Amino acid sequence: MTILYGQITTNKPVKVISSTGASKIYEYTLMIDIERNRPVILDRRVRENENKWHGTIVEVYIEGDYYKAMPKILEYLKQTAIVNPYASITFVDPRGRLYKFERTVSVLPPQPKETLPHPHGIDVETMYRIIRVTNCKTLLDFMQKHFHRVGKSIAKSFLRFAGFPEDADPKKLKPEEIVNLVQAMKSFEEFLPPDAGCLSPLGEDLLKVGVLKELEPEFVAVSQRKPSAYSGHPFIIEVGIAYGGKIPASEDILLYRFANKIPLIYDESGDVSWKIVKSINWRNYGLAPGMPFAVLVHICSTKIPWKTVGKEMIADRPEVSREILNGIREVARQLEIYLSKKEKAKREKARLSIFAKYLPKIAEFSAKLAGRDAPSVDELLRRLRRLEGE
Amino acid sequence: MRGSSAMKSREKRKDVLLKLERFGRELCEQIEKGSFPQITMPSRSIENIFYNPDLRQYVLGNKTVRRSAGNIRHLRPFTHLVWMAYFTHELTMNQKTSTLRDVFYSAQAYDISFQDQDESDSIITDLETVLGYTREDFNVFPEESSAVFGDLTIEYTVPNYEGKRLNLTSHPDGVMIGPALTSADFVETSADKVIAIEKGGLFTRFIEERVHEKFNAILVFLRGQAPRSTRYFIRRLNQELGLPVYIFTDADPWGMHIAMVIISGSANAAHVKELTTPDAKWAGVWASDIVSYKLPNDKLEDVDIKRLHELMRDPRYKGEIWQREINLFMKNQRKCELEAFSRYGLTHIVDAYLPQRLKEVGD
Repeated sequence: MTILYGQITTNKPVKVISSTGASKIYEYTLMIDIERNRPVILDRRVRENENKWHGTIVEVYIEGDYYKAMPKILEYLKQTAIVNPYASITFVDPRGRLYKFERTVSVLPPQPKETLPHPHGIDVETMYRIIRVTNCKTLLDFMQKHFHRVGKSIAKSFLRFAGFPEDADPKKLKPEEIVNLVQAMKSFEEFLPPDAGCLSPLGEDLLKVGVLKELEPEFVAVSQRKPSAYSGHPFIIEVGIAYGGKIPASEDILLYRFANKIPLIYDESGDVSWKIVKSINWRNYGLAPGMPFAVLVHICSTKIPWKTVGKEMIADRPEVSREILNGIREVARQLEIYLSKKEKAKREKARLSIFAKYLPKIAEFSAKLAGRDAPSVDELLRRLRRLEGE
Repeated sequence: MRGSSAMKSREKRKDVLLKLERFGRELCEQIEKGSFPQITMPSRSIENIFYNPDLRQYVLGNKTVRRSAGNIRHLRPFTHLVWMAYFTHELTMNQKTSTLRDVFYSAQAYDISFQDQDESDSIITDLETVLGYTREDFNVFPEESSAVFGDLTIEYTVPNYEGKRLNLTSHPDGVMIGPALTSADFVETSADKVIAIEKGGLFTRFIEERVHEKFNAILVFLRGQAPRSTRYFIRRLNQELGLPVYIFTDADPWGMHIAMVIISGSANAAHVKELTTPDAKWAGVWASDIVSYKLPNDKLEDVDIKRLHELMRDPRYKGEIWQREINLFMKNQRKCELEAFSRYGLTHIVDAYLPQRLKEVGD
């Protein structure tokens, strides 16, 4: 997207330098053939990697109004730092100002595993592509080899359900047969749910670290929901709630949205999370707009359910919104418990201070009445403190 | 006559001081034993206020309330009460007096804060209940004051005036019934009755018309609902000097009640005794007088009628004359003020009404 935008505004190529730390460093200068959606390599160099350097450098020119976009850009970087706490981000802006977002952990979330597509998520176009490349001779083999969590017995019962012979050659299917096969795959209910091993969620610990690092709240609670799926696409929802500290008190609820560790900055009010956050009765959790708290929602999926091509809003899929809602409820409850404990401690402290203020006076004036020295109330105050400690 | 009352007030003072000191000592001992100090006193809640027909006043029943310094809700008023006990002990000891308002401000000198005077007043009432003495006994007086005029010689007992005598006819405006007069000894009097009047205008008229001489009376100006010190003073006139007491008020339910509080006390003061004068008589102006003396009058208002209904059910109003007058008020729906007699000339009330009425109600 960035490369494309850079090219259509400045017509300059992009330069990519990369090495895995092995013996060579590769350097490409390229542009995009927009019509055919293919790279056009202008220059290619391979150099010796004497210092075992590893990493990737991308250089791209884009045109934009920095002063207008600045707040969003800085916000984008900050939010990126929240969900990538293991990354150090350095940004020198066009004014020459340096922004640094330092990593605070060096652990990475587990690497995702490569996976086959789930039969529920297949469209006709994808099916054509798979058929083109397959070397399977029968549909029975084809189903098992190219689709996620399809074994022999499931493949057999599916083909029976779809009305295709097991030994049919996939390459000889007629176009209308391919459409029928895809439709049957969508409606067959015995496929196993997708495995989430292909997803790369952040994990509760890292999310917490990221929130503490960038938002500096007084309290944070996070939750990773169990993997779920919509239309054959596995997804995991991670939510967090942060309270107090440097979180500003805003009239509206502060919501941070992320998709596959990318912050979503625009079109907040069209997002399913916004709808959910607005539907919650926060007073049930001892919260109200105007109190300093922020809600974070991260969706990880092999296919993010975008609402529009702009890729800024998550669509309202019942499977997804249920997980978001339950996740937010869970962390909100944790915050509620924290707040009520805090309130209780405050009350106890205030209570003790009232006793500490009045008991000595009672001792003083009754002693004056009796014409003697004031008895000590320390023992009584100690006993009150002990009671509260329990 | 003189010796006994002086002795009584001196003994009372001694007893107040002793009780206050014992109160302080008990609290200290409780603290030393490691328990939160607490006190038990008669409950002043409405369910615990009963009318005692023998005493002819309201009294408190057997219910008690316990205040503990271990209870956070009691803590503040408890502290206030202990301070109040200390402060009034100082007052009584040094024979100084203070008004309710003054007490409210004095607290601030001891870093004791009352939200408002109502709060400090209610603590004073608590202390009365705990000790069984009235606030006047521990030298706290209300702001408002009434007056007395007549041939009665008193002798002061307050510091700097001790032994000094005064005849209560010496000032033509009357003498204020303040702390010094309330605690003074009665030396001698030629009067044979007490006439108490609700309104200041009539009190002055009576002095000008020499009612005290013509009727041999001590005149007391009540200033509306009489303050406690005035009620106590009237009681002393009745009990110590044996003088009958006649009360004149406006002819309306409120005037009736001014007389009733002097006679039988108020529910608010059920925790204190010796404020009432059960033998005092309400001598007018009656509902029946409006008709018989053809007095200018007004129609009863809704609040008046509501009040009459309340009084009708009040156990203090069981007596024949009260029931008769309440019924007449209800029947005629008319009320009038003491000043209504002026319709027939300034001296009419003294020349015509007063001798007639005193003859009717006198023993």
